[in-house]
Amino acid sequence: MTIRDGTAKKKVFPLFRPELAMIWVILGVCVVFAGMSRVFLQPSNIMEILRQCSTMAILVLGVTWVISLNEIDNAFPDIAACASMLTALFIRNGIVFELAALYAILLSTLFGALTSVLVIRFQFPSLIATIAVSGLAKALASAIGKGIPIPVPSTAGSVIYSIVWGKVFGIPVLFLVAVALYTVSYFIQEKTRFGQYVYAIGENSQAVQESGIKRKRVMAIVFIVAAMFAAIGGVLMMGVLQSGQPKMGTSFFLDGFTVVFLGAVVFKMGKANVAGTLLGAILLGILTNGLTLLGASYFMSQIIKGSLLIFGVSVVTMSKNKQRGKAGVLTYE
Amino acid sequence: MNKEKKGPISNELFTLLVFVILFLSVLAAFSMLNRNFFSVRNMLNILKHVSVIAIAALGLTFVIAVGHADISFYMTSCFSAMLMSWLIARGLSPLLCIAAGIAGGLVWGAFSGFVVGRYKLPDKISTIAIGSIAFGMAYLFSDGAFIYTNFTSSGITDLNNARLFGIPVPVLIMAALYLAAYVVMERSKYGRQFYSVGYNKKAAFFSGIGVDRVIVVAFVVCSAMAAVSTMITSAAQGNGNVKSGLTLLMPCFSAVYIGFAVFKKPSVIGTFLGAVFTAMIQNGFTLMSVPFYYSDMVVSGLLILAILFSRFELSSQLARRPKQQKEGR
Repeated sequence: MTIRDGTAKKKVFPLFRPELAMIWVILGVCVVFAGMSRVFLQPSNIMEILRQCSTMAILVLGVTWVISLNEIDNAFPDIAACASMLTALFIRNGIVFELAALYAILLSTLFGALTSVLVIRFQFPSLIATIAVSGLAKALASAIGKGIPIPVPSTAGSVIYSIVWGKVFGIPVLFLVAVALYTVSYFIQEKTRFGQYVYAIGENSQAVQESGIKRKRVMAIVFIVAAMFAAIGGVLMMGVLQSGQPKMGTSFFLDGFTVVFLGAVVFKMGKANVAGTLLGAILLGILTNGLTLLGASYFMSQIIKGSLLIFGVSVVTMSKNKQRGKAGVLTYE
Repeated sequence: MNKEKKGPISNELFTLLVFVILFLSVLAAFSMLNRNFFSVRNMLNILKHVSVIAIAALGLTFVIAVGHADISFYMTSCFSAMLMSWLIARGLSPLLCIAAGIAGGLVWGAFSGFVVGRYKLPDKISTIAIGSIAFGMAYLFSDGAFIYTNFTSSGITDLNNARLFGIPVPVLIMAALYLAAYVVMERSKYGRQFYSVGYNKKAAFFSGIGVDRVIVVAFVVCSAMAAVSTMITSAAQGNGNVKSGLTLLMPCFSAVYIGFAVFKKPSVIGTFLGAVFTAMIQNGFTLMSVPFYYSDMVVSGLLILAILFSRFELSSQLARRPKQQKEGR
């Protein structure tokens, strides 16, 4: 699978291909942090990083496909917040932990269904539809607890607790769960028709429609799946924080998009893909952890994440422009 | 059937009529539910609230008109407000501080504009990134703490409290900006460029419009207006708060898109109507002491309804006159 761009392709040692640049960035960042902080490379810290980045990874798994569709989903952080509040509410009302989580995930997935109805049936721009849906989700999340968080009685012994805090051979279960989910999604993305349709729609929606594929159904599934993973992430986050947080969404917004767009730089130059997203989540986890260890303030990490996002987006755009090529004297684009 | 009876009334007028009826019924509902709604004092409050939303939404109208979306304005406006507050605390004259705040908005707007217009990066994601950088920078001034110093003594609160001929200053600022924007957008050759770019960039480019430049201008206007709006909020609250601009996102988008639904294109008057409608609903709910999250819910529901409404209009139009639909938008 090579992309012809007119120039003869130079033989590059496989490990130095631009598709894999991200892995080198991760290693480089690790070396820098290891040099600056002694705690960083200790196994317990590395496991902690893996545990922390897993929630984010699961949260944005579905958003990855929304971005590959060339659409956008602003609602995922607030859907996550809503799911966490719903779970906390159900638990407080005496429902078993696992069932509460299940109900919350199902209910929050309805937001995804609403988005897909708006985008597909009524042809809203996805930006506006998801801004509106996120407003609804945020308002509902606040309304459930009257604007304040709902604490949850100790969850020790439940399945969620063992997923969030448990370890197998020293590796956090949460990370293993994330890897398992990502492996399944990777096969769906690469080996099934559905995955290929997603990229085809992102490339040219009209052409896909004309070739008889049920474009609308694919798009609807993607939006619903995005909401579902956001809800799962929210429930896990509730397990981590031991409470339902109505405002947890604000911190996920930038992080989520940074992860997806950093991930788009790897493996499939310029297209969001699940394998890349996992790597992006790990890189962001390393950065967050390292910056915290070095005592960087909120604004520093905000600025660094914003710059990373811009960097990811520009690499993606430039590689796309390169593939497209230019023709004619006066061109726009 | 209903539509044929109307005959001479055009589709636009019909939509406007529906909007006015909706507006009046909401007004009636609020005044019945709350006796204070129609008091002079509350009307002035509503007007102030309208002006904050309307000014920021006006800037957004330009960006939507060129066919882009800006998700940075509410975060860059926090930077501007904090810059202004910080300078106030240093003891500079209020006018200078306001100018600095606007300048901050201009810089961030130019940054987004160049990134989106000149370098063709995808607008939504790039503006999220730039907005986050700006929001991070806003923390630089005080590490996220409130800035109170000099606020009452410097006279910056006059930006909100002062009156000219009995009309609050924010309302006057809003009126002036809207008048200027109306003349530029609807009555000048220059303003048509924004719509031209929004309809079709390639066509605009080949008819000799500097597409990149127009997009940059739109983003700059958007950020500057948002800066003005959040500085008014800061003046009203009497402190510099990092998060003061964060509530702008939803009302502004819903104002612009309600206007879009009424006039079938992003327009100055439409945005104004949308802002009045949104602000009125928020105010009405606040008066009835309904918690903030329910009014958020209503505003986002309103946003959905507004667009649904415009889609229904369009689809009924499509069904009636399938052949003449080409020029319409």
